[in-house]
Amino acid sequence: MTDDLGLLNLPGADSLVREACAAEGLDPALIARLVRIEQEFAGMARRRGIFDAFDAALAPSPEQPAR
Amino acid sequence: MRLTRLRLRNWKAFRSLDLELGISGKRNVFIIEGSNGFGKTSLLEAIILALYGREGVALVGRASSRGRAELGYDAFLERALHQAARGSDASASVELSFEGEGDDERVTLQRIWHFNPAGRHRKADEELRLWTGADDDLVVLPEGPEREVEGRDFVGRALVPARLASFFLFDGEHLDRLAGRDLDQQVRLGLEHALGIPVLRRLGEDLKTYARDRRRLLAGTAGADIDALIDSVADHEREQKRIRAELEQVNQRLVPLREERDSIVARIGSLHGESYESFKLLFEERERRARMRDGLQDRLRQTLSFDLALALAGPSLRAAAREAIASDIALAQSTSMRAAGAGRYDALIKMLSDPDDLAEAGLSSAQWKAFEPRLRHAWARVWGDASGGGSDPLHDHLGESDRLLVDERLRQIEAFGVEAIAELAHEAEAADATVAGIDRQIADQRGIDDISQQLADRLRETQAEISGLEEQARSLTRDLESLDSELGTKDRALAKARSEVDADAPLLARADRADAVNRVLARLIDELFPLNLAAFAKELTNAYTAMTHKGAVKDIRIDESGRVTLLDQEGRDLSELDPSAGESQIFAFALMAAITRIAPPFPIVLDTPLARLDPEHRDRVLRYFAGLDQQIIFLSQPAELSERYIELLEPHLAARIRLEHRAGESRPADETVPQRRASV
Repeated sequence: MTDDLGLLNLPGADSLVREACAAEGLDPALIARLVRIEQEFAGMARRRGIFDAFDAALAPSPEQPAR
Repeated sequence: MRLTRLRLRNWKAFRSLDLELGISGKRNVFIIEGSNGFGKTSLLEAIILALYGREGVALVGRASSRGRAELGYDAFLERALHQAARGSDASASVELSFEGEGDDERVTLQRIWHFNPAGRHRKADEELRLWTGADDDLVVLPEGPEREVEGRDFVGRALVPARLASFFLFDGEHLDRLAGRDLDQQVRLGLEHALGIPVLRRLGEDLKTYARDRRRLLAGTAGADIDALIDSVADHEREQKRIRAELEQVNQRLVPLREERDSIVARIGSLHGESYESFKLLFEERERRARMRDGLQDRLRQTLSFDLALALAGPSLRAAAREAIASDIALAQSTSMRAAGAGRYDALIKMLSDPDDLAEAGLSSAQWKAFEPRLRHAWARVWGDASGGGSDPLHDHLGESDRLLVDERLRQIEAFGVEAIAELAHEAEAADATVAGIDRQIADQRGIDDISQQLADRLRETQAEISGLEEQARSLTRDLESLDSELGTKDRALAKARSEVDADAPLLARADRADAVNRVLARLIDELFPLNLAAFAKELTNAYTAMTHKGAVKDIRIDESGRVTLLDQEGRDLSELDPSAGESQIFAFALMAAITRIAPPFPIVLDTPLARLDPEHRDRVLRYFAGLDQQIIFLSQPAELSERYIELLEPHLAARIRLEHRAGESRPADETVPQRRASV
């Protein structure tokens, strides 16, 4: 998952992430991508660009339709 | 990883410093000692800011205290530039070298800060260089803002992430702040940071705001309507979760009570020999009747709540309501059919209006134009007459399945009158009287001796408690059913609102996905947080019992909500007892130590941490940390670690370095550097 996020590296985390994402019709890689975006913007006082980054990450791909 | 070399240039009191910190065998402890102002804390700050740059400023007490966190980094660096380097273009640098177990586990990190002649930090020019592997290969980092992000990721992966740094690199002030909180808060905060939960929480908040923001871009008020429905659904789901948890608790409390009741019944029976069977049968009969009575009372309650108003409304009003519902159903079907017909009509006209086909059929364009409206009218009649079209349904908020449900309910109520309600009330009353009668029979069977009397009293109390809890469970179940029903209505309304904004579907889809991710994050936090609690509590117990000298606490437990219980030998909870300042600090030490045990191995640097501790606690803290299998660097005042403690640390001591300060500069005292172990 993400290299430095302890919660997502716990034993059992991977299967729970897969299960929870499947229940919501999401690709587990999306969680990692969004966590990374959040971390990238964490040290910044102005976080204006974060919504654009979310837009790009959350745009439904043809093979991954939204629920 | 171990810190093997620390090099500073123009950093605070150090014009230039080059410290080698090699470990030999089990000698893992370094003591760097110096009086106030000699640069001990400057070393800790250098390590933190070199590793984490701007992000590390929150961990530097002298940069973030007294409300200066926002301007901390640049202002702090400008103060950190060595006095002799000021007045012209200058730079300060920190270089850290780390080694792990394998030959290729090597990382060197160098951060250089540049300043103009006025001493201002040139932010854009800050440099970060990284080398790794057995051959010290340069890690290629991108230019621009990405550089810091990639650098941070690398440090997080290869060394330790910033969120964990405060558990490895800390001073007495940080320890005091942690110790000042209550145990539950300390543990919750410590564990959450160790697991990175604040990042997930912040992501969840940002996604929530994002989804709301994107829905606000939808045409008209659709976004606001959907938002309101989503909030309402979320509120209902929270309430549902709370009630389910409460119901679970009530059911759990019932289990031992029912066991106790059965045990009392068996004991009473054993006291009365052969009469046991009849007593048991009587008691079971009482239970059966009580369940019947409860069922009847539930039905009566439900009837009075939901059906009575419908029954009293009278047949003509109910018939009018059913007619209106039937009309709504017909209208909805007609609308749906016309919509389907319109689509097909367009396709038909497209096929028929082909000029070649018209010519072949002997029709001119003018004839076709005159005929087409008649065809359209006929088509509309075939797919549902438009005579009812244009009028709105009376119950617009209901979907088709809701309308059918309402109709069915109204139909059922026709067979239900005031007499039926009275009969139900009578049955419930009779059932209650039957139970009371059996209770009297049970009472008649007791009283043979004191023991029987006590058992019977206890039985009555237990049964009363069980009945109370069962009633509570029924009430909660009813609340749940009611919530389920409301939630179903909200869900349908939400689906309807969504279906009406097809044009903005991509926007809505992104907002929906943000909400879905948020639900996944909430679930991950809820379910993953408790997974590590037992292992963590064990590490905490080991660390705390090793460091505290009272010895009263034998076990530390942490429940799923993060509540901490300190148990003594007999299992008594000592958490409520007021700990001394020193004991609080020991708990904070234990917490930090436990977190470092579940985190990747990294040097622990403690800056003057022992001030509040009595000699025995100091003794134990030093022994505990020295006994760990990771590198420990104590930054200490000479008075803090007297010769007694140095002797205690001797078997683990890799080097003792004394700082001195002369002519405005700090440096390792000449005579102390060679005191490092020969193997260093």
